[in-house]
Amino acid sequence: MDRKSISIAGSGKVEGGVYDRVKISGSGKVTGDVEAEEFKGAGAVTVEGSLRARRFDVSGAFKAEGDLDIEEGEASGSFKVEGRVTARELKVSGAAKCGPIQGGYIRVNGALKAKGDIEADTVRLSGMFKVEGLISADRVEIRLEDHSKARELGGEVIEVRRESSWGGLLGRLFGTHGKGSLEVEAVEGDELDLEWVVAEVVRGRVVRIGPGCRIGRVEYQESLEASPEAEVGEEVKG
Amino acid sequence: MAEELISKKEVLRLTGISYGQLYRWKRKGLIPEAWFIRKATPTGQETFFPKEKILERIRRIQELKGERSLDELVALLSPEARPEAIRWDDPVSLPPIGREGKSFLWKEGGYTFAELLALACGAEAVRRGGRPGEAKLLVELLRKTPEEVLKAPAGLVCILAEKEVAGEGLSLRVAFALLGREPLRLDPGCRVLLRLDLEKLLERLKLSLGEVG
Repeated sequence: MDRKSISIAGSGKVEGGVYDRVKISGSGKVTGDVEAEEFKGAGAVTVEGSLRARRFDVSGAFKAEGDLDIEEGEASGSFKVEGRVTARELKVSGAAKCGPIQGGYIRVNGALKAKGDIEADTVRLSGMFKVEGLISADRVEIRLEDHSKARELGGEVIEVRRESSWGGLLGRLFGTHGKGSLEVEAVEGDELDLEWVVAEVVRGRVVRIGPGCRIGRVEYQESLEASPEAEVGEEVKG
Repeated sequence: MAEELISKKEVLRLTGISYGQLYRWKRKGLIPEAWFIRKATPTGQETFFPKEKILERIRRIQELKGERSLDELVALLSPEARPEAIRWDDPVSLPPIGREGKSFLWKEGGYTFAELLALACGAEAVRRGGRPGEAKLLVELLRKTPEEVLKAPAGLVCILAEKEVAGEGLSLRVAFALLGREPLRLDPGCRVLLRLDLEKLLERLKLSLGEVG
């Protein structure tokens, strides 16, 4: 089957369907589900349905009313997906709001609100976030710039730090530099390195509890190192 | 009947796996979401599992992961993964079906996954002492199971039951097959002859497909 490509410059509407390439610059709407090899948007792009693409690039204000399922992609600006996000590789910078995220490599720089779990091989978040579910990955790396929240963190290696460099994007914009903290019910993993985490319980094999942490109970198998600038209620080995 | 639960910590201790592995297997769909039971305990939020199921699943994963990729394992072990476009020509070669299933075959070959499951149910019923005529009801019932049902097999059971109907000097014993999710209730006049856990049977069938194929 021959696949069409479509391009909008200015303002326009595209019908849903299967395309080779979809390119929208300016303001564009896709009515219905769309599938494309490549989806590019600059400006205000709304998909009134689900989007499936191998390559995905948007900047400006992007919104999908259904799911987003991509091989790899990048988004900058405002990124909204009302359904679930599935991506082998996805990098977002700016403000993201979406349902659950599932994938290989997920990186969000800025502010993220996710309704559901974030599950990937690697998850890197920097800035601030509210995740209603579990953040789970072989490697979870978090750089905090403002008050953040998740239900649980789980995986192999989990590292949570307060942004210590010159301050990230948000810190510079809103003067929140140095206010980063993470509130979570539980953290579980093999190697944990935590700073500025407030948690009911932390369970791990090798655990480092750094400055700013307030942890109700730490259960560890191999080693526990707790900073004098951290509060730990109970320490249990085994 | 309540299932015995086991805490996550205890699972790790008994099986020697790491947090990383457990979370990875969950992500890949090797351990069903429904088995993670979150509970608030005096020592903080903890996760529990149905003991028998989780230990058996981890044992299988550990046994097979040397020779197979995680994705292959998902297809084999995890009933909620799609039963690929299976067309099987020789159902009797699969242990869950075996010789006991032979009399239920209705075509030369090309059995779909749902049809194989139907045969496995019938064969299992025969092995447990069911009458072939009644076991056949299960086969008839299950061979038309929609795919969606097979994708979410948690708690799915099929029941073979009978009921006595008497009146006007006539007494009739009626056997029937039923497919549903626990807790299933039948009226007190029914006698359950056989109850098959479809989730377990599905898993055994998938595994045997992997081993033979």
